[in-house]
Amino acid sequence: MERRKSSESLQVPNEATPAVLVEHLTKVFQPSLSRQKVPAVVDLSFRVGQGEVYGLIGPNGSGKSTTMKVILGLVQATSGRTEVFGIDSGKVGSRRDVGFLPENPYFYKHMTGRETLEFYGKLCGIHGAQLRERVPELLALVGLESAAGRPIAGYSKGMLQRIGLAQAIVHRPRLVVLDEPTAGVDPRGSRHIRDLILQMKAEGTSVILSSHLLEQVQEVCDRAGIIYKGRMVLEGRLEDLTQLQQQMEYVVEGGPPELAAEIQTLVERAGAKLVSAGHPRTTLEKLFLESTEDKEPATGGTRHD
Amino acid sequence: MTETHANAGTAPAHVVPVWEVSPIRLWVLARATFVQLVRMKVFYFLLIFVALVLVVAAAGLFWLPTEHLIAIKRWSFGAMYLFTMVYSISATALLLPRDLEDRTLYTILSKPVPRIEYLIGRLCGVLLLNAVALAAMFLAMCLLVAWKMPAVEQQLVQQLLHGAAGEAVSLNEVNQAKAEAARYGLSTSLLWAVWALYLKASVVSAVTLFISTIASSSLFTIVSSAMVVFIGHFHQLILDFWKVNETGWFGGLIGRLLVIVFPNLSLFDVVDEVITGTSLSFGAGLQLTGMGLFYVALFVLVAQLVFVDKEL
Ligand SMILES: Nc1ncnc2c1ncn2[C@@H]1O[C@H](COP(=O)(O)OP(=O)(O)O)[C@@H](O)[C@H]1O
Ligand SMILES: [Mg+2]
Repeated sequence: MERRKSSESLQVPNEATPAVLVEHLTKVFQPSLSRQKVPAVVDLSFRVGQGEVYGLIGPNGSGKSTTMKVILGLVQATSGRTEVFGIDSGKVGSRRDVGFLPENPYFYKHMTGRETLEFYGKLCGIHGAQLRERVPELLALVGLESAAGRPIAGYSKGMLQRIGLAQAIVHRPRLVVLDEPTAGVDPRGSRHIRDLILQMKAEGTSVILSSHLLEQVQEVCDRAGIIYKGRMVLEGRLEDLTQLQQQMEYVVEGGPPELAAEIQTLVERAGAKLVSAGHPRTTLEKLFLESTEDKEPATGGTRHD
Repeated sequence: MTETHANAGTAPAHVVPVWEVSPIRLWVLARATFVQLVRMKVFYFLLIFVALVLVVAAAGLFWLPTEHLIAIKRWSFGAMYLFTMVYSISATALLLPRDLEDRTLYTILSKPVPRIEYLIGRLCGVLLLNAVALAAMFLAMCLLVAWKMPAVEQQLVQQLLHGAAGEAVSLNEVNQAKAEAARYGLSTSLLWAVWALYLKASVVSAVTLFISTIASSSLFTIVSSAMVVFIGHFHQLILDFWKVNETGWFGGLIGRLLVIVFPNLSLFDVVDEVITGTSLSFGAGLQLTGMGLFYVALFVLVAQLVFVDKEL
């Protein structure tokens, strides 16, 4: 049924069209006050399939934000090309199906959270009953119902991040671009954001997100690319990237002390080497989450902040 | 490897056909701009206008009604002029640089919003603000003029009687005096004068918008726009200077450049004539409108040329 349409117009993507295509992208900045050129991205190529969650990982200044801005047509490539669902990033039409959460997002501080979502919704062509239905739905989704009537000026970092996420998906885009969605947000808030990303993934939305921390993308990404100084240094499926093929890990609970010695001899007899043994540590994040779980007051959605 | 794709980035991809500009989105942007400016409490400045009007109204005690009426109009128009210029420059100068700085531009332009739409929407918001402020001030002035009219009429009739020194005055002469009074009162020419002011403010807003696409700071934009307004009022002076003084090719070039680059704002100064009762013809009004629209369109176009490929 969709087949006919796509033969009529080249711009209608089929299932094979990647959500994002970046080919040999190079971006060189030339700050107006200095003669020195800044190569932010160098010959970068990758693609994000439809329904895939892709992570861009790299330290600060490695070119993640620049890559995303080129994908969204906010910055022009020096060379190479980027496409969104088969449409060149420079074309306004390529933004029809994309939601963007910029790094450290900021919104009009005179608007309330609700007005902000209405404003962005209208820019995406949503009006009337549809908008009246969508906005409360989004506010509930990001847990900002109780703060919806307050001006953005009073929002905390975590709340801004969540209202930013909500405005990015107001028009139910098929691709969401998130630049450091969890930066500066406490673990509880960032877990909430991660859950939202997982939910989008479950709904078949393609996601590209950036982070300077591998752990933050580990749980949500299908694939990830590690970029450093504007170049892709490693790319692959998350399991492949994080798996240490040569090693195995066992966690035992309640065994007698002699068991450790027995395992040691077993390992040595097999000609292998015991790399580490001991009590596993919980992560600080887990600890934080566990110890703040019960003490949390039951008041609306703004409690994390 | 990269060379084969090198041309992709330079394609004029941002250029949007006119039919892709959506009036609904324009209205959304204009309204948001208007609300933003209103919430910045710009209308509080109108209180100064009210105070001024009250002072001028009270000053009537010391003036002849005809003089008073002219004073009312002159001061009101002076205040309207000042307010619209301040609004046009400062409000417009605040918008784009702030959006850039706060990175709100990212979220707006990553929606399917062509850049030209953003520019026009912003401008329309300021024009809306000017319209509302001017309408309010004009209305206040009209009320004051209407309130003053009976006194003016009475004064002129009395002057007639006084001049007649006891001799009979024909009804015709009285009617003439009344007609003379009406020239000072509310007229379509006053409407043209306020419209001319609005056109001038719109041109200044468009100029400011254009400057703000080049500059990224509000302060620079405000100072430059104020300079354009200043020079724009002295076109005739520049032309005269250039013609009268044989300034040589250099001076001549500069004069010519100034006149071309800076919009001729003195075109829109019809207030002085209108205040003293000269009427403005429909044709002249139409011509003014045409000039205003031309300048606005021109500066929006240049702004778009700069903005369309701007790195955000
Ligand atoms: N507008 C700009 N002008 C000049 N240099 C820039 C600009 N934007 C980014 N850069 C430079 O490009 C590099 C990459 O920046 P960015 O993409 O923001 O990195 P990341 O998001 O990975 O932290 C940095 O060295 C940064 O200083
Ligand atoms: Mg960044």
